[in-house]
Amino acid sequence: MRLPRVIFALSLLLVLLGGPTPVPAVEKKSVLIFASNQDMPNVDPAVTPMSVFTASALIALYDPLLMYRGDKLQSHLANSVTPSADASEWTIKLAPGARFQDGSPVTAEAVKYTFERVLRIKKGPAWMWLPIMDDKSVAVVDDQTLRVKLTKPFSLFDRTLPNLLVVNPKLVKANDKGDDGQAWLVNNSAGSGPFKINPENWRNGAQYELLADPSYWKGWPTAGRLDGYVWKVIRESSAQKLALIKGEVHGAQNISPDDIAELMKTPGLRVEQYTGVSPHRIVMHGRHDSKYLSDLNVRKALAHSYDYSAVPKIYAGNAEVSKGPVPPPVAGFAPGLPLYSYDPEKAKAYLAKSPWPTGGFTLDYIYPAGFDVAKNLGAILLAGAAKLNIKINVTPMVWANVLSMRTKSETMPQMISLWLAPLYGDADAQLYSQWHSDSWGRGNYSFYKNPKVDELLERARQSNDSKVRADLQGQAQRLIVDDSVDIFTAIEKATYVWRSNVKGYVHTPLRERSPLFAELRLE
Amino acid sequence: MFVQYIGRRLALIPITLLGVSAIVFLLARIVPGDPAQLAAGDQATPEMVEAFRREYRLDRPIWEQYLAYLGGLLQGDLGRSMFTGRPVLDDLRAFLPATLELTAVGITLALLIGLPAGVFSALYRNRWPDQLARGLALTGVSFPVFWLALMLQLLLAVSLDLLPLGGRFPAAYKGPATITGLYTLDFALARDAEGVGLALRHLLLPALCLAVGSVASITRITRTSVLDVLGRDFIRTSRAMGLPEHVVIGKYVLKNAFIATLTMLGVALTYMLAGSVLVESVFDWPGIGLYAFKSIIQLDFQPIAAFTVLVGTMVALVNLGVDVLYGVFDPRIRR
Repeated sequence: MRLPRVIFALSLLLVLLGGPTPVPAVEKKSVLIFASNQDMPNVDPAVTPMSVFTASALIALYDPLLMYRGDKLQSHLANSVTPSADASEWTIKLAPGARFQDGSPVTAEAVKYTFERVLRIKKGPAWMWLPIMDDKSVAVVDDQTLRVKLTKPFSLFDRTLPNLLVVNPKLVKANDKGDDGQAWLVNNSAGSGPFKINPENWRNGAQYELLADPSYWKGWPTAGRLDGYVWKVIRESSAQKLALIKGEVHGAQNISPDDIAELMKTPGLRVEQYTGVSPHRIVMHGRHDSKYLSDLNVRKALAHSYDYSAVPKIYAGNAEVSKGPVPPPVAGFAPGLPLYSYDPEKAKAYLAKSPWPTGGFTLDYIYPAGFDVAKNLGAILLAGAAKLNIKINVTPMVWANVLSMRTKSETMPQMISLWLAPLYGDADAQLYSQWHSDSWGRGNYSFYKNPKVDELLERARQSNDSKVRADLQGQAQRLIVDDSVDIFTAIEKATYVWRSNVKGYVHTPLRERSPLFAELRLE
Repeated sequence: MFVQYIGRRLALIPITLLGVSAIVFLLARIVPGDPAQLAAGDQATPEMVEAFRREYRLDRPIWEQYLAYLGGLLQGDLGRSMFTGRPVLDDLRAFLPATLELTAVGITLALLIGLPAGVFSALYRNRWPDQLARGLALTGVSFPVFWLALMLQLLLAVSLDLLPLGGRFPAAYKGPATITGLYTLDFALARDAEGVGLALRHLLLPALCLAVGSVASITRITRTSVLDVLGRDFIRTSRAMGLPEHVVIGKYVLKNAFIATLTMLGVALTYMLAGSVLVESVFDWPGIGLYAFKSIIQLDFQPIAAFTVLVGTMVALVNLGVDVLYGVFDPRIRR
């Protein structure tokens, strides 16, 4: 008799708590909810790099001097940024009328303070400027003008400026406890951007709400602007998919390729896909004491044994075969590079020229633990190499370990799976940091050194002429491909899923993971 | 005697924690991998990595780092995360209440379902309620929790639209001012009845998933224990004296059988407090399990050490609580 009572009580509990999910208040206010698998626990622009998803919050809270929008580099806080003839000195003129959210003007002094703070803290975006600036580089000419004297010429300095987000010195200094305000800026902002933090709904690890600043100095671009947006952390792709289908969120960005096809067929949702800028490659040249991979013919054999046509299948069609060291949307991309094709006969011919014409050796391929796509890209390598009688150990590794191993060639794994996205809008962002010998132990995982490539890249950095630069960078890319230090595998498409009432998204390749919320609206 | 015993147990807790912190501190630093490289980023210059090491004292000898850590610990400073720059204490303040709330509801559900199921299973031994309860218990322990969580999400949140998918309350709903961090309580303190309902609705599904494994264990242990007590002489005597069955079961059987269940409850509680990472992940429940998992992947020392010390403290306190409750349920233990 008592058993049914228990079941009844439990059913009653479910009925009382259950019931259709209430319509979220978001439908009534113009607050957009965006799902991401990425948390954004620190919004200090001198600490958090713009390469990650937090960039969308940083760009909402702060303004840069120049800004990437679509394919263009546009003026923003700066009206003009002009180089000297040798690109070693830059004059920055600020836009009049720019104001921080507390009403104080954005001055040349504030920009100088921001530069110096980044260089002092030495975190996040500092790597772009530490090699070319020192604490005396920035000088204030007048309230609206600065002069930046670089320690060596760099014609792409302006391309890096979208990564400098200007902070309000008055606010930061008021909250400086000997740490340049770092502790305070974790959860607070001191910018001039279109949104402000909503402290009542800034919930670490769960969701972060930003409210529109109606008095934004630059004005709002379109009618029907958002009242705010919520960055909701939903870690699992399947849960993001369900949230989109249920209408609990208006948009999402990191949907797994397997879920995209289903969402494309779901009424009320719109899937937008763009060519990505984060190419994947297999680094083959990192370990110089690997006798097999030091041999150019072995590397060429492996590059020809890779079945590139299988790559899109791994991404369920949401990727293209990589087109070389630089992704197509980035300035300086060289079309028509002599890339390697899947050709088992050529592969055998190259191997025959090596000291191991019949293979019979084993190589390690390391991929970041938990990344199935990287494992599957390794499986293509394994299958191709098997035909050459080369065995590949496909092994997962915690990325922290790879990062400690990559400081020296002697400790590098023989082959690794690698994604590196450009952090500013020029081929130099990929080429210098990944194939110039200055970058050994950092982005140059291949420990590649070709004096001709080094020279071409250095000359490109000194030229203000974009055509000359592209030509020099194109030559460098040809040499890199010819040296076959990497297998260029895939570029995943940048995919956004929106509810159909979300309008105004403009895809900016260099911010492929960070929408500009100020431009979005709900209809 | 019992009070002295409890006193001794309490005195042992700091010594245990000292040992735990030393082991974790050492282990976290001898595993391969360079956290400074990882935290400074892919493109960090050597100068940036070194600055990072200096800031977090990773350039100091390990004993010096440990002493500094202990010194901080005694002053309530758990250090800062290398990846976020956030004070670990602030993170724990943010994440622990979520886990405590989930665990409280989870353990309550486990007890509410498991205890009666175990008792009925024993009382109806080898009849259909027993077979049903045992079948469900076996099923409960057999399902991988992440799979069950996804299936329940699909069924109850998507197909039937009965419960929310995840999170602690709807993203667009104005959340409560954080007082305790337990949202049901915070909404209640703000006299927001709708908020309390929403927080409970969000709790139900993850708590149910968290409870499933423990329900199975509690059911099985309670069944065995009740069957054992039912066969004892004093129960036969009670029945022979003509005591009503509900008195025999409620007062004599349950009280005696509950000791074993209590032990299992302690185990379940510590499992839920420390091991809820899968449930927290599927339901985007921002608790300490998820926080610890992320910290481990990133080799973020301070949060790992803080999590371990915290969980060590909680396990010690739960075990102590169970010991005290033994005395409540069985006065012989107090003597």
